[in-house]
Amino acid sequence: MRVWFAGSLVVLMATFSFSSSLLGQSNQPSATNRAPTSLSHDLSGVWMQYADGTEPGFARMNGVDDRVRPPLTPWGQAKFDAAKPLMGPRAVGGSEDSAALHCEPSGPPQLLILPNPFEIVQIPGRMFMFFEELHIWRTIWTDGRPLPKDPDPSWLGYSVGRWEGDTFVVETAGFNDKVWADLSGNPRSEQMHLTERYRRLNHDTLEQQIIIDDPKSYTKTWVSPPKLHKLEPTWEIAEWFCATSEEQTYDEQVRKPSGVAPNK
Amino acid sequence: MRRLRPRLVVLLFGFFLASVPLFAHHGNSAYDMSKTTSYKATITKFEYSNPHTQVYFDVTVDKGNVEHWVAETTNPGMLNRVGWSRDTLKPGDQVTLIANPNKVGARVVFLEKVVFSDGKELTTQKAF
Repeated sequence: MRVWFAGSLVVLMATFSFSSSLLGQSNQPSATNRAPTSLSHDLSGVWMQYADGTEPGFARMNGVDDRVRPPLTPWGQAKFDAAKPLMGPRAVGGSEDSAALHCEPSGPPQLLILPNPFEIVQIPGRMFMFFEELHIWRTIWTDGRPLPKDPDPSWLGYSVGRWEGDTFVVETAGFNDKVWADLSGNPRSEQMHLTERYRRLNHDTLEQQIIIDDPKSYTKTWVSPPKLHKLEPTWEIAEWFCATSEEQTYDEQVRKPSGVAPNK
Repeated sequence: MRRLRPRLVVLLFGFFLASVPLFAHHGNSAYDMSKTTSYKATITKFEYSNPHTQVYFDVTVDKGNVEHWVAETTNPGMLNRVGWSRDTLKPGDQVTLIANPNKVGARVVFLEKVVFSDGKELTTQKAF
Protein backbone atom coordinates (compact mmCIF):
# COMPACT_ATOMS: atom_id res chain seq x y z
CA MET A 1 0.00 0.00 0.00
CA ARG A 2 2.77 2.42 0.99
CA VAL A 3 4.80 1.53 -2.11
CA TRP A 4 1.81 2.13 -4.33
CA PHE A 5 1.14 5.49 -2.68
CA ALA A 6 4.78 6.56 -2.97
CA GLY A 7 4.84 5.49 -6.60
CA SER A 8 1.69 7.50 -7.35
CA LEU A 9 3.17 10.52 -5.63
CA VAL A 10 6.28 10.30 -7.81
CA VAL A 11 4.13 10.07 -10.94
CA LEU A 12 2.01 12.98 -9.77
CA MET A 13 5.07 15.15 -9.07
CA ALA A 14 6.57 14.25 -12.42
CA THR A 15 3.34 15.22 -14.15
CA PHE A 16 3.20 18.59 -12.39
CA SER A 17 6.82 19.42 -13.18
CA PHE A 18 6.32 18.39 -16.81
CA SER A 19 3.19 20.59 -17.05
CA SER A 20 4.91 23.57 -15.54
CA SER A 21 7.80 23.22 -17.97
CA LEU A 22 5.24 23.14 -20.81
CA LEU A 23 3.62 26.27 -19.40
CA GLY A 24 7.08 27.79 -19.19
CA GLN A 25 7.45 27.34 -22.95
CA SER A 26 4.34 29.41 -23.67
CA ASN A 27 4.85 32.99 -24.69
CA GLN A 28 2.48 34.35 -22.07
CA PRO A 29 4.49 36.77 -19.99
CA SER A 30 4.28 35.62 -16.41
CA ALA A 31 6.35 35.77 -13.30
CA THR A 32 7.23 32.08 -13.54
CA ASN A 33 8.71 31.92 -17.05
CA ARG A 34 10.26 35.35 -17.54
CA ALA A 35 13.99 35.60 -16.98
CA PRO A 36 15.04 38.76 -15.15
CA THR A 37 14.88 41.44 -17.82
CA SER A 38 14.72 45.18 -18.04
CA LEU A 39 12.76 45.27 -21.34
CA SER A 40 9.13 44.50 -22.06
CA HIS A 41 7.99 41.23 -23.63
CA ASP A 42 5.03 43.04 -25.13
CA LEU A 43 5.86 43.96 -28.71
CA SER A 44 2.30 44.74 -29.73
CA GLY A 45 1.48 47.89 -31.66
CA VAL A 46 1.84 49.56 -35.03
CA TRP A 47 5.51 50.11 -35.86
CA MET A 48 7.09 52.33 -38.53
CA GLN A 49 10.76 52.22 -39.41
CA TYR A 50 12.76 55.43 -39.05
CA ALA A 51 13.89 57.32 -42.15
CA ASP A 52 17.58 56.99 -41.31
CA GLY A 53 18.95 55.11 -44.30
CA THR A 54 21.86 56.49 -46.27
CA GLU A 55 20.90 55.78 -49.88
CA PRO A 56 19.84 59.02 -51.60
CA GLY A 57 16.10 58.98 -52.13
CA PHE A 58 15.58 55.81 -50.06
CA ALA A 59 15.78 56.80 -46.45
CA ARG A 60 14.08 53.63 -45.31
CA MET A 61 14.32 49.99 -46.39
CA ASN A 62 17.83 49.52 -45.00
CA GLY A 63 16.94 46.82 -42.46
CA VAL A 64 18.59 44.52 -44.99
CA ASP A 65 21.77 46.49 -45.63
CA ASP A 66 23.48 45.64 -48.89
CA ARG A 67 26.55 47.68 -47.91
CA VAL A 68 27.51 44.73 -45.70
CA ARG A 69 26.35 41.96 -47.99
CA PRO A 70 28.78 39.02 -48.23
CA PRO A 71 30.05 37.79 -51.60
CA LEU A 72 27.62 35.93 -53.83
CA THR A 73 27.97 32.30 -54.85
CA PRO A 74 27.92 31.58 -58.61
CA TRP A 75 24.19 30.75 -58.33
CA GLY A 76 23.59 33.94 -56.37
CA GLN A 77 25.57 36.01 -58.85
CA ALA A 78 23.56 34.73 -61.78
CA LYS A 79 20.30 35.61 -60.00
CA PHE A 80 21.63 39.04 -59.02
CA ASP A 81 22.78 39.81 -62.58
CA ALA A 82 19.40 38.85 -64.03
CA ALA A 83 17.41 40.99 -61.61
CA LYS A 84 16.22 44.48 -62.59
CA PRO A 85 16.13 46.17 -59.20
CA LEU A 86 13.89 48.88 -57.79
CA MET A 87 16.69 50.67 -55.99
CA GLY A 88 20.44 50.90 -55.86
CA PRO A 89 23.05 51.81 -58.49
CA ARG A 90 21.75 49.27 -61.01
CA ALA A 91 18.17 50.54 -60.95
CA VAL A 92 16.91 52.05 -64.20
CA GLY A 93 13.69 54.06 -64.15
CA GLY A 94 10.95 52.39 -66.17
CA SER A 95 12.81 49.07 -66.43
CA GLU A 96 12.37 47.70 -62.93
CA ASP A 97 11.13 44.15 -62.53
CA SER A 98 10.20 42.65 -59.19
CA ALA A 99 7.66 40.01 -58.17
CA ALA A 100 5.50 42.61 -56.44
CA LEU A 101 5.16 44.63 -59.67
CA HIS A 102 3.20 41.65 -61.03
CA CYS A 103 1.02 41.46 -57.92
CA GLU A 104 2.90 38.46 -56.57
CA PRO A 105 3.37 38.31 -52.81
CA SER A 106 6.40 39.52 -50.90
CA GLY A 107 8.00 37.58 -48.07
CA PRO A 108 10.70 37.90 -45.44
CA PRO A 109 13.22 39.43 -45.36
CA GLN A 110 12.06 41.81 -48.13
CA LEU A 111 8.62 42.06 -46.52
CA LEU A 112 10.23 43.20 -43.27
CA ILE A 113 11.81 46.29 -44.86
CA LEU A 114 9.00 47.69 -47.03
CA PRO A 115 8.33 51.38 -46.29
CA ASN A 116 4.86 51.03 -44.77
CA PRO A 117 4.09 50.08 -41.16
CA PHE A 118 3.44 46.66 -39.68
CA GLU A 119 1.36 45.75 -36.66
CA ILE A 120 2.34 43.14 -34.10
CA VAL A 121 -0.42 41.25 -32.28
CA GLN A 122 0.39 38.65 -29.62
CA ILE A 123 -1.90 35.82 -28.50
CA PRO A 124 -1.04 32.67 -26.52
CA GLY A 125 1.19 30.48 -28.65
CA ARG A 126 1.43 32.88 -31.57
CA MET A 127 2.63 36.27 -32.65
CA PHE A 128 1.15 37.87 -35.77
CA MET A 129 2.73 40.54 -37.94
CA PHE A 130 0.34 42.40 -40.23
CA PHE A 131 2.11 44.25 -43.03
CA GLU A 132 0.28 47.20 -44.55
CA GLU A 133 2.02 46.94 -47.90
CA LEU A 134 0.39 44.13 -49.86
CA HIS A 135 -1.94 43.28 -46.94
CA ILE A 136 0.13 40.32 -45.76
CA TRP A 137 -0.18 38.68 -42.37
CA ARG A 138 2.42 36.37 -41.02
CA THR A 139 2.25 33.84 -38.15
CA ILE A 140 5.17 33.26 -35.79
CA TRP A 141 4.57 30.17 -33.60
CA THR A 142 5.64 30.76 -30.01
CA ASP A 143 4.36 27.52 -28.43
CA GLY A 144 7.78 25.94 -28.35
CA ARG A 145 7.48 23.90 -31.52
CA PRO A 146 10.67 23.49 -33.56
CA LEU A 147 11.03 24.49 -37.18
CA PRO A 148 9.76 21.73 -39.46
CA LYS A 149 12.57 19.58 -40.87
CA ASP A 150 11.57 19.76 -44.52
CA PRO A 151 8.96 22.48 -45.03
CA ASP A 152 7.30 23.05 -48.38
CA PRO A 153 8.74 26.10 -50.15
CA SER A 154 6.48 29.10 -49.67
CA TRP A 155 6.37 32.89 -50.04
CA LEU A 156 6.45 33.58 -46.29
CA GLY A 157 8.33 30.59 -44.96
CA TYR A 158 7.47 28.92 -41.64
CA SER A 159 8.36 30.92 -38.53
CA VAL A 160 8.89 30.07 -34.88
CA GLY A 161 9.84 32.50 -32.11
CA ARG A 162 11.16 32.39 -28.55
CA TRP A 163 12.41 34.78 -25.91
CA GLU A 164 16.06 34.93 -24.97
CA GLY A 165 16.02 37.35 -22.06
CA ASP A 166 15.16 40.75 -23.55
CA THR A 167 15.24 39.57 -27.15
CA PHE A 168 12.51 37.92 -29.19
CA VAL A 169 14.25 35.63 -31.67
CA VAL A 170 12.40 34.50 -34.80
CA GLU A 171 13.64 31.74 -37.05
CA THR A 172 12.18 31.08 -40.46
CA ALA A 173 12.81 28.41 -43.08
CA GLY A 174 10.90 26.97 -46.02
CA PHE A 175 11.18 29.82 -48.50
CA ASN A 176 10.71 29.69 -52.26
CA ASP A 177 13.15 31.58 -54.47
CA LYS A 178 10.56 33.82 -56.15
CA VAL A 179 11.17 36.91 -54.02
CA TRP A 180 14.34 38.90 -53.68
CA ALA A 181 15.90 39.28 -50.25
CA ASP A 182 15.61 43.06 -50.63
CA LEU A 183 14.72 45.61 -53.33
CA SER A 184 18.17 45.70 -54.92
CA GLY A 185 17.83 42.28 -56.54
CA ASN A 186 19.87 40.28 -54.01
CA PRO A 187 18.57 36.70 -54.14
CA ARG A 188 16.69 34.49 -51.70
CA SER A 189 16.99 30.76 -52.23
CA GLU A 190 15.06 27.80 -50.83
CA GLN A 191 18.01 27.21 -48.50
CA MET A 192 17.66 30.53 -46.69
CA HIS A 193 17.42 30.33 -42.91
CA LEU A 194 16.37 33.72 -41.60
CA THR A 195 16.87 34.97 -38.05
CA GLU A 196 15.26 38.14 -36.72
CA ARG A 197 16.01 39.65 -33.33
CA TYR A 198 13.57 42.11 -31.77
CA ARG A 199 13.94 44.18 -28.62
CA ARG A 200 11.53 46.78 -27.31
CA LEU A 201 14.10 49.31 -26.13
CA ASN A 202 11.46 51.53 -24.56
CA HIS A 203 7.73 52.08 -24.91
CA ASP A 204 8.03 53.82 -28.30
CA THR A 205 11.02 52.02 -29.86
CA LEU A 206 11.40 48.57 -31.38
CA GLU A 207 14.78 47.39 -32.54
CA GLN A 208 14.83 44.85 -35.39
CA GLN A 209 17.87 42.99 -36.63
CA ILE A 210 17.86 40.78 -39.74
CA ILE A 211 20.38 37.96 -40.11
CA ILE A 212 20.47 35.96 -43.34
CA ASP A 213 21.99 32.50 -43.71
CA ASP A 214 21.63 31.41 -47.32
CA PRO A 215 24.54 29.22 -48.42
CA LYS A 216 23.10 28.80 -51.91
CA SER A 217 23.19 32.58 -52.46
CA TYR A 218 25.93 33.96 -50.18
CA THR A 219 29.29 32.67 -49.05
CA LYS A 220 28.81 33.88 -45.46
CA THR A 221 26.11 34.94 -43.03
CA TRP A 222 24.71 38.39 -43.86
CA VAL A 223 24.28 40.37 -40.64
CA SER A 224 22.65 43.75 -41.10
CA PRO A 225 22.91 46.45 -38.42
CA PRO A 226 19.83 46.78 -36.17
CA LYS A 227 17.07 49.05 -37.45
CA LEU A 228 14.87 51.16 -35.18
CA HIS A 229 11.09 51.38 -35.52
CA LYS A 230 8.80 53.95 -33.91
CA LEU A 231 5.52 53.13 -32.21
CA GLU A 232 2.60 54.89 -33.91
CA PRO A 233 -0.31 54.52 -31.49
CA THR A 234 -2.76 56.52 -33.62
CA TRP A 235 -2.14 54.68 -36.89
CA GLU A 236 -4.46 52.00 -38.23
CA ILE A 237 -3.10 49.56 -40.77
CA ALA A 238 -4.65 50.76 -44.04
CA GLU A 239 -5.90 48.55 -46.81
CA TRP A 240 -3.46 47.77 -49.58
CA PHE A 241 -4.30 44.94 -51.93
CA CYS A 242 -2.26 44.57 -55.07
CA ALA A 243 -5.04 45.17 -57.59
CA THR A 244 -4.04 44.31 -61.14
CA SER A 245 -6.07 47.20 -62.52
CA GLU A 246 -4.29 49.71 -60.29
CA GLU A 247 -0.86 48.24 -61.03
CA GLN A 248 -1.60 48.36 -64.75
CA THR A 249 -2.67 52.02 -64.64
CA TYR A 250 0.44 52.93 -62.71
CA ASP A 251 2.67 50.90 -65.06
CA GLU A 252 1.23 52.45 -68.20
CA GLN A 253 0.86 56.02 -67.03
CA VAL A 254 3.89 56.43 -64.77
CA ARG A 255 6.44 53.66 -64.38
CA LYS A 256 7.21 52.83 -68.00
CA PRO A 257 6.97 56.39 -69.37
CA SER A 258 9.27 57.61 -66.59
CA GLY A 259 12.19 55.89 -68.29
CA VAL A 260 11.52 57.03 -71.83
CA ALA A 261 13.11 60.22 -73.12
CA PRO A 262 10.64 62.33 -75.07
CA ASN A 263 10.98 62.61 -78.84
CA LYS A 264 12.76 65.86 -79.65
CA MET B 1 23.24 49.39 -15.36
CA ARG B 2 26.42 49.18 -17.45
CA ARG B 3 24.49 47.48 -20.27
CA LEU B 4 21.94 50.26 -20.43
CA ARG B 5 24.38 52.98 -21.36
CA PRO B 6 25.33 51.74 -24.86
CA ARG B 7 21.64 51.18 -25.60
CA LEU B 8 20.89 54.70 -24.48
CA VAL B 9 23.54 55.98 -26.89
CA VAL B 10 22.00 54.01 -29.76
CA LEU B 11 18.58 55.32 -28.82
CA LEU B 12 19.66 58.94 -28.62
CA PHE B 13 21.55 58.59 -31.91
CA GLY B 14 18.47 57.10 -33.55
CA PHE B 15 16.27 59.92 -32.33
CA PHE B 16 18.80 62.52 -33.47
CA LEU B 17 18.87 61.04 -36.97
CA ALA B 18 15.10 60.98 -37.11
CA SER B 19 14.85 64.64 -36.25
CA VAL B 20 17.36 65.76 -38.89
CA PRO B 21 15.62 66.66 -42.15
CA LEU B 22 17.09 63.96 -44.38
CA PHE B 23 15.79 62.88 -47.75
CA ALA B 24 12.78 61.13 -46.30
CA HIS B 25 11.80 59.73 -49.66
CA HIS B 26 10.75 56.29 -50.80
CA GLY B 27 12.31 57.59 -53.95
CA ASN B 28 12.51 56.17 -57.42
CA SER B 29 15.34 55.46 -59.79
CA ALA B 30 13.75 57.60 -62.56
CA TYR B 31 14.20 60.91 -60.76
CA ASP B 32 17.03 63.22 -59.77
CA MET B 33 16.35 63.42 -56.05
CA SER B 34 18.95 66.17 -55.55
CA LYS B 35 16.96 68.76 -57.53
CA THR B 36 13.49 70.26 -57.51
CA THR B 37 11.52 72.00 -60.23
CA SER B 38 8.44 74.16 -59.85
CA TYR B 39 5.39 73.80 -62.14
CA LYS B 40 2.41 76.14 -62.59
CA ALA B 41 -0.11 73.37 -62.91
CA THR B 42 -3.75 72.87 -63.75
CA ILE B 43 -4.87 69.56 -62.29
CA THR B 44 -6.55 67.26 -64.79
CA LYS B 45 -6.88 64.12 -62.69
CA PHE B 46 -6.08 63.04 -59.12
CA GLU B 47 -5.67 59.27 -58.84
CA TYR B 48 -5.53 58.65 -55.08
CA SER B 49 -4.67 54.95 -55.10
CA ASN B 50 -2.08 52.22 -54.60
CA PRO B 51 0.66 51.58 -55.37
CA HIS B 52 1.56 55.26 -55.91
CA THR B 53 -0.80 58.21 -56.02
CA GLN B 54 -0.75 60.04 -59.37
CA VAL B 55 -1.34 63.75 -60.00
CA TYR B 56 -2.03 64.42 -63.67
CA PHE B 57 -1.60 68.06 -64.67
CA ASP B 58 -1.29 70.43 -67.59
CA VAL B 59 1.35 73.08 -68.01
CA THR B 60 0.91 75.92 -70.47
CA VAL B 61 4.17 76.71 -72.24
CA ASP B 62 5.14 79.29 -74.83
CA LYS B 63 2.58 80.29 -77.44
CA GLY B 64 -0.23 78.74 -75.43
CA ASN B 65 0.82 75.14 -76.03
CA VAL B 66 -0.34 72.76 -73.33
CA GLU B 67 1.85 69.92 -72.11
CA HIS B 68 0.49 66.91 -70.26
CA TRP B 69 2.43 65.79 -67.21
CA VAL B 70 2.10 63.40 -64.30
CA ALA B 71 3.62 63.62 -60.83
CA GLU B 72 3.71 60.55 -58.63
CA THR B 73 3.99 60.20 -54.88
CA THR B 74 3.39 57.50 -52.30
CA ASN B 75 0.35 55.43 -51.34
CA PRO B 76 -2.84 56.80 -49.71
CA GLY B 77 -2.17 54.90 -46.47
CA MET B 78 0.91 57.01 -45.80
CA LEU B 79 -0.41 60.25 -47.36
CA ASN B 80 -3.51 60.19 -45.13
CA ARG B 81 -1.19 60.31 -42.14
CA VAL B 82 0.36 63.60 -43.24
CA GLY B 83 -2.82 65.51 -44.04
CA TRP B 84 -3.74 64.34 -47.53
CA SER B 85 -7.10 62.95 -48.60
CA ARG B 86 -8.84 61.92 -51.79
CA ASP B 87 -10.23 65.47 -51.93
CA THR B 88 -6.88 67.25 -51.70
CA LEU B 89 -6.81 67.95 -55.43
CA LYS B 90 -9.58 68.17 -58.02
CA PRO B 91 -9.61 68.61 -61.79
CA GLY B 92 -9.39 72.31 -62.56
CA ASP B 93 -7.38 73.26 -59.46
CA GLN B 94 -4.59 75.69 -60.20
CA VAL B 95 -1.62 75.00 -57.99
CA THR B 96 2.16 75.10 -57.94
CA LEU B 97 3.78 71.67 -57.83
CA ILE B 98 7.30 71.23 -56.53
CA ALA B 99 8.78 67.97 -57.81
CA ASN B 100 12.02 66.09 -58.40
CA PRO B 101 12.74 66.14 -62.14
CA ASN B 102 12.97 63.15 -64.44
CA LYS B 103 16.48 61.93 -65.29
CA VAL B 104 15.78 61.44 -69.02
CA GLY B 105 13.44 64.37 -69.54
CA ALA B 106 10.17 62.42 -69.56
CA ARG B 107 7.12 64.37 -68.36
CA VAL B 108 6.92 62.18 -65.28
CA VAL B 109 8.14 63.69 -62.02
CA PHE B 110 8.22 62.90 -58.31
CA LEU B 111 6.03 65.16 -56.19
CA GLU B 112 7.49 66.85 -53.11
CA LYS B 113 4.98 69.57 -52.34
CA VAL B 114 1.77 71.27 -53.43
CA VAL B 115 1.36 75.03 -53.00
CA PHE B 116 -2.28 76.08 -53.24
CA SER B 117 -3.53 79.38 -54.63
CA ASP B 118 -4.18 80.65 -51.10
CA GLY B 119 -0.54 80.07 -50.21
CA LYS B 120 -1.13 76.95 -48.11
CA GLU B 121 1.34 74.13 -48.62
CA LEU B 122 1.04 70.37 -48.34
CA THR B 123 4.16 68.26 -48.40
CA THR B 124 4.58 64.59 -49.23
CA GLN B 125 7.97 64.33 -47.59
CA LYS B 126 6.95 63.18 -44.14
CA ALA B 127 4.98 60.34 -45.72
CA PHE B 128 8.14 58.52 -46.74
